[in-house]
Amino acid sequence: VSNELFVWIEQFEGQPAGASWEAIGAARRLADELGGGVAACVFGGEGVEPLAQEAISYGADRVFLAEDATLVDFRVEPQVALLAKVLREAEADVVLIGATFRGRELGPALAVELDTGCIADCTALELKDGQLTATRPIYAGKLLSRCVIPERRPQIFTNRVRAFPKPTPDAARSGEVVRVEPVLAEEDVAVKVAGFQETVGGVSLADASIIVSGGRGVGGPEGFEPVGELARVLGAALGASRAAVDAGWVPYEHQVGQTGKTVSPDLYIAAGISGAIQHQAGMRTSKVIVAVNKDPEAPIFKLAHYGIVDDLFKAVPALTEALKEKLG
Amino acid sequence: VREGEAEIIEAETVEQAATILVDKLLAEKVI
Repeated sequence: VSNELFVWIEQFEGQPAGASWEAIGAARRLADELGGGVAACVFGGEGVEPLAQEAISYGADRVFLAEDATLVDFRVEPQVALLAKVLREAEADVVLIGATFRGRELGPALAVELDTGCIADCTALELKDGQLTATRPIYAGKLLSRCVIPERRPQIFTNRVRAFPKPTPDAARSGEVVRVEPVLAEEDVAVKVAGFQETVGGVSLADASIIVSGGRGVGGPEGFEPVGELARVLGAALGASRAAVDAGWVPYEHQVGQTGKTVSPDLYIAAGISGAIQHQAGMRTSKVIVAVNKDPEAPIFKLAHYGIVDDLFKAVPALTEALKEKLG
Repeated sequence: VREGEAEIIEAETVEQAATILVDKLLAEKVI
């Protein structure tokens, strides 16, 4: 059994997912406690090699690198087949995968392939008596569950995006790059990627360090204008509650909550959102939460760190102006 | 995961409340 912790590095057209570096940071911390190492797995098309050095700069000691046409676009089958082979040969004990859309697909599939356990959406990982223990929110974030994989190996964990700090890269770090070949040929892969449709405009909710969301209280699509302006001034992503999405005021891709996206930004500003439990499920692990609502009894104030009890059409523009003044 | 009560920003005007809030967010280093 290896004391090397493995991390799968997600990329799209050579651009890495931030959650992968967060996973490297978590693995590095645990490896240092164990006196072990960190291995990164970078599997993509021709031209992803720079990610190997980047992974080393973030804390990997060695990188398993595959560059092949079958790995250009993310597909579970070739990724799982190659990752499972690398992990089997290394007798890996631990694998970390960012809990992005792709990571959430990959982790369980890998667990099936390796006949082991996968603990999803972890917000903390710690060593207790030699056993890696994961913390993950359950019941829409109302409870925290602590889970272990006591016997099966490797233990697979997906780390919630932005729940772990992204380490500072050190360009002076050095490591080993091990080239590996894909396991599946193109004819063995059932799924073919037909193409991509880019989301128009705005900052991605998943990657945003600041999110400004509007809810039923904004009253209509025009009500999102001051909310959107606040988001623009902050360089934030625009979010929405299910009520606002169901009403057709903003597209579904902005929805935060149990039936939308789960986010964990540094700052979450909820404007005109009452704070239904389903919405809280998607944002309650945000580091600082601000609520703007004219109803002082709104449940969001039980969760928020700071609140302004006032009409959002007064408070949000005032906040925008105050920010412009302070931030220049 | 947090359970508690928000610190409600009290001020004479909403503009003052907004300025106080921005100062708090700067102190929290989230903006």
